[in-house]
Amino acid sequence: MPYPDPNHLRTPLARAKGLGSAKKGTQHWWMIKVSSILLIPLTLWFFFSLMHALAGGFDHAAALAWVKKPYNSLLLSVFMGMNFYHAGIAGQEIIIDYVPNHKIQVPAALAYSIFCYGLGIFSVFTVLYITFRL
Amino acid sequence: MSIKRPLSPHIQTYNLFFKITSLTSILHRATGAALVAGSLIIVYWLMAIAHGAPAYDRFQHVVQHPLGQVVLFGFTWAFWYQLLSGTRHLFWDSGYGLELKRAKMLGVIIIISSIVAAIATWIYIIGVL
Repeated sequence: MPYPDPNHLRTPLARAKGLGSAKKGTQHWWMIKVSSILLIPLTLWFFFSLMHALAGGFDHAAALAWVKKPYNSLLLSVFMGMNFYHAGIAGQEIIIDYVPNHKIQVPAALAYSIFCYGLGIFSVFTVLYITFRL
Repeated sequence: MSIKRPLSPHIQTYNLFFKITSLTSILHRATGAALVAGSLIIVYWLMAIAHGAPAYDRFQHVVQHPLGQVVLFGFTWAFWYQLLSGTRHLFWDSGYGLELKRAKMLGVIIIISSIVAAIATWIYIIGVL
């Protein structure tokens, strides 16, 4: 519909008042906060348990055994999924801020989202594959 | 005729690197972007485990290369910085620490403690290996 719509007598202001906001402006920001709070314990767990595991040397057999432990497998899946989810929604802000040209910004944000969510799914799948197939 | 109005953030007074608040702001974004790239190392690590021992040896060869070690050190620092800075953002969101004096002080604290934490991490890793 062209704007202002020539087929309607309503003023742009009247139209805007009727449309209002979608009341969803804070959702994106809120999800960044939710994922960042969840990532505090998840990253600390990954960091310190990996450091602890490194103490005994970390060859393929040790890494495999570490990932295959049920709680490690579960937390690693949640961590990698949440990591790339957070990267996707928070990193998108950087593209939106620094790429002003919409013809580049929209495809760049789209490609970045596919990259992040794709890697999130890929990582979780890899952890499950290691746990159940190796 | 166009009127010349001041731009916001005002370019003449906006200094990226010599004000602690703007430095911590850009570092938060930069470390965030670096962590996305660094996450690819974790994905590579998982892929190497899934592929088997020879692939895992190649992975270890890459990360044990001096250049790989430098990247991993940067990854470690970016992790600590983003963790501290992100926690500071959560405090800001709940309304604490926004006074200029406190914001500057916390900025200095997170920069120094992230560097200290990264060095301490590597002293620990080198010590046990």
